[in-house]
Amino acid sequence: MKPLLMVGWALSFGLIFQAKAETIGDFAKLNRLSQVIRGHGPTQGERAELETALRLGNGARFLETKTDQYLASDQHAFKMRVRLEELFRLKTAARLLGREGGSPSLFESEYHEKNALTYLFTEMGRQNRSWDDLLIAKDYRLFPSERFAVIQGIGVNDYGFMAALIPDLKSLSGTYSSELSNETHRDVRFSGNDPRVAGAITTSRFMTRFVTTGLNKNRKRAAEVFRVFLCDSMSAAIPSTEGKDDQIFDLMLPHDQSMTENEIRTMAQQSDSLHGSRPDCNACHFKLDPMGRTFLTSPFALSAQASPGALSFKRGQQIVKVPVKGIGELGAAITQQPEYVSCQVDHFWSWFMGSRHKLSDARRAQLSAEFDRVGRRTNDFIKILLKQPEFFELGRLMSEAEIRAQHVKTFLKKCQDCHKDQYNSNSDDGSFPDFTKWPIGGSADEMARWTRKISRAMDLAHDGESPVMPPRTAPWRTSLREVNLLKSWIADGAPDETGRRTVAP
Amino acid sequence: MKLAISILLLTMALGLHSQASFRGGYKSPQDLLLSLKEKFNGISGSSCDSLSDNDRAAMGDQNMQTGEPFADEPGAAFVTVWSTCLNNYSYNLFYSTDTSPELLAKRTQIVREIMAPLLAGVVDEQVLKAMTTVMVPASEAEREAYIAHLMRWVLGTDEEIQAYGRMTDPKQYRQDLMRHVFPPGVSAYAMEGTRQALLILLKRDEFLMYQ
Ligand code: HEC
Ligand code: HEC
Repeated sequence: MKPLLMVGWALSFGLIFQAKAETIGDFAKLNRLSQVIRGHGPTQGERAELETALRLGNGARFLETKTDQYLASDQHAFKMRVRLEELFRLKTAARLLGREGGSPSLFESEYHEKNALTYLFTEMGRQNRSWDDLLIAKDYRLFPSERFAVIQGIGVNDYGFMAALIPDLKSLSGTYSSELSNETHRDVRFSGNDPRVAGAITTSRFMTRFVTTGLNKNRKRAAEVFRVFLCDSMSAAIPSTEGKDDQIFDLMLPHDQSMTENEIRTMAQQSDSLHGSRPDCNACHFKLDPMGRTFLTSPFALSAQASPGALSFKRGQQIVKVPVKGIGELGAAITQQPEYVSCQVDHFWSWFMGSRHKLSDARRAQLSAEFDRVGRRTNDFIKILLKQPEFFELGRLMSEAEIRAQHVKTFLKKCQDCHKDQYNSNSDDGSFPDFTKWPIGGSADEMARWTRKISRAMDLAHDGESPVMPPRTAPWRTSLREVNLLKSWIADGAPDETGRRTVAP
Repeated sequence: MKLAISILLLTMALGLHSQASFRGGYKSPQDLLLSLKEKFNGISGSSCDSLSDNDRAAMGDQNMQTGEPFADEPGAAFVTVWSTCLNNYSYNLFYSTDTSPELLAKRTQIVREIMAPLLAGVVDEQVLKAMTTVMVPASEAEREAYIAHLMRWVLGTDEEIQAYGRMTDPKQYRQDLMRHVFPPGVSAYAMEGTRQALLILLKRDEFLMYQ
């Protein structure tokens, strides 16, 4: 088997495929619909049905009916839930239920099956809910799950989490109350303008996944909201160490594994005084801190008291600042931003089309309008995507150069995630060029200059031994594999997707 | 292992994906197991009925801290996990000694689907017995038709297979696979060759990927 695998790996860099404007046949269409919506291929029976439909000249209608059926299936609801769990960086479902007969059984997650967030995620596809509900829903199904309540003593279940807002949940200080264990769940609804609740955000599972500390001041939560809903990743926050599960890990590792208790305390004091004064900190923290304040009263359980804050970010050179009375208003404010809409369109695009097809600005704008036109409803928008010409296109093999360029850009995006918010004292206007847009800096000369700078910053000459980038304050380090990738790419003249050198070697 | 058919699975990362998982179009760990479950519905996958943390990583689940998959493409760890799952299912289908009536009925139904061309005329009660004694057809044409049937059962029609862009010549592939699992001129029981063919087909990218 060994030599075989190597052949496989060698091929992996040679062959990938990419769109060619040729449409696939009806059987392949059925297969693709089934795979993408349900996660597995069509059944033998469905193939036979398609055969009959084709004979009768009803192929197109049959595929449409199947699409509706697939979108109404448990598998689709489950897949949307897993997609959302991945998007939110939550642990995805794990256990396959041994249900025999009928449709293949679905997974149940270890800890999180019965909780308000998982339930909402599943409902997005099952009920064709408006995507905005992730930010503005005021209705929940709460579960008194004991299991979730006791994880390391720091989790709170849905009942404990909401107890301050619903007094008869009788829970003590946000922990599980065994008095209520005979109830399987409870449906609750808050008023449409309640500033304290905001869909997926104000759930126990979200808050315990992204914990806060006195030092953190809810910045981690704010960073997640920016990443998921506005596609603004502030790369600083997340240690790239192999991840263990959820909350415990994050509690143990505030920012940098190697920091001592004392250093953390000093940093906390320093950083509070530094914030807003040092431009390099403020680049991210003018976004994170005002949003973090809306979580202030709810470190673990949700507070009965809304906490004011603001949505604040940069649009081009302009600062957008929307003051809000609490998380509820924050969620609503986010859904009104065009950045939110295009970000969600991007998520859907990558789920249903993949990275094979780049979404152009014009197409993104067009699809954003469609997203609005269908009331931002989950399945209705998916159906629109499935009707796009790209969905049924036949693939073609992608070249080695394309794959390599894609890998390099994936890496450089991590640098970009920080630089886009930074002040560069070495440039006249304080800006950085985007390393993922080639030629970097806009010309061959600039490209050459920047690859030299990158090479020096990463210390590629010494295999990345003493890099200055990413800076020590960033919590991730370049892996040896990434060093080698960049080193050989630059040595080969930084070839682009067509394999053409952008820099003389 | 010089056979072209064996360059199956793995690693030709498709530039598209429907869910995280490995980069490219490979299925998520959940969907990989579900796809098997769909084929062998009612049969136990033993250790493959749930995902351990190690299996998740091997199968390309994302690292929750970084949001990136643990591995860019299926590697040796994936092969190990996946082969174990395929062995579990195929063993439990063909060789199980469990005599519970529900399981026997399930096995009968699935074996009948898989070996249909060889079991025409065999009554349900006899299927599990017949599967162990039925011979590989003598004529090359019948063998090829049987292999075509197996390919369709696992991967779908030629049109579906070709839409993945991996296999350009399904006819040639069928020939190669046929010679591999049913060597010409050798007369043998069909079951083990069938199982081997399934193990190979279930490792193809066309089974492991969304589109
Ligand atoms: C590129 C964006 C970015 C920049 C620049 C940045 N930060 Fe942060 N910072 C973050 C993010 C994101 C978090 C939330 C991290 C988390 O908990 O995951 C954070 C968290 C923090 C925390 C809480 C730490 C903890 O472990 O809970 C402190 C303190 C902090 N930053 C201080 C600073 C200071 C001081 C500077 C300037 C030297 C700075 N930051 C620059 C993005 C940034
Ligand atoms: C956590 C934030 C952060 C990350 C991550 C980061 N950088 Fe930087 N980088 C900076 C800051 C801040 C500066 C500007 C320093 C200054 O003005 O003196 C900078 C400056 C640079 C410069 C010099 C710019 C010039 O005009 O000369 C290069 C080159 C550079 N970074 C490369 C990289 C590369 C390559 C990566 C990814 C491997 C990376 N950086 C990741 C924060 C970051």
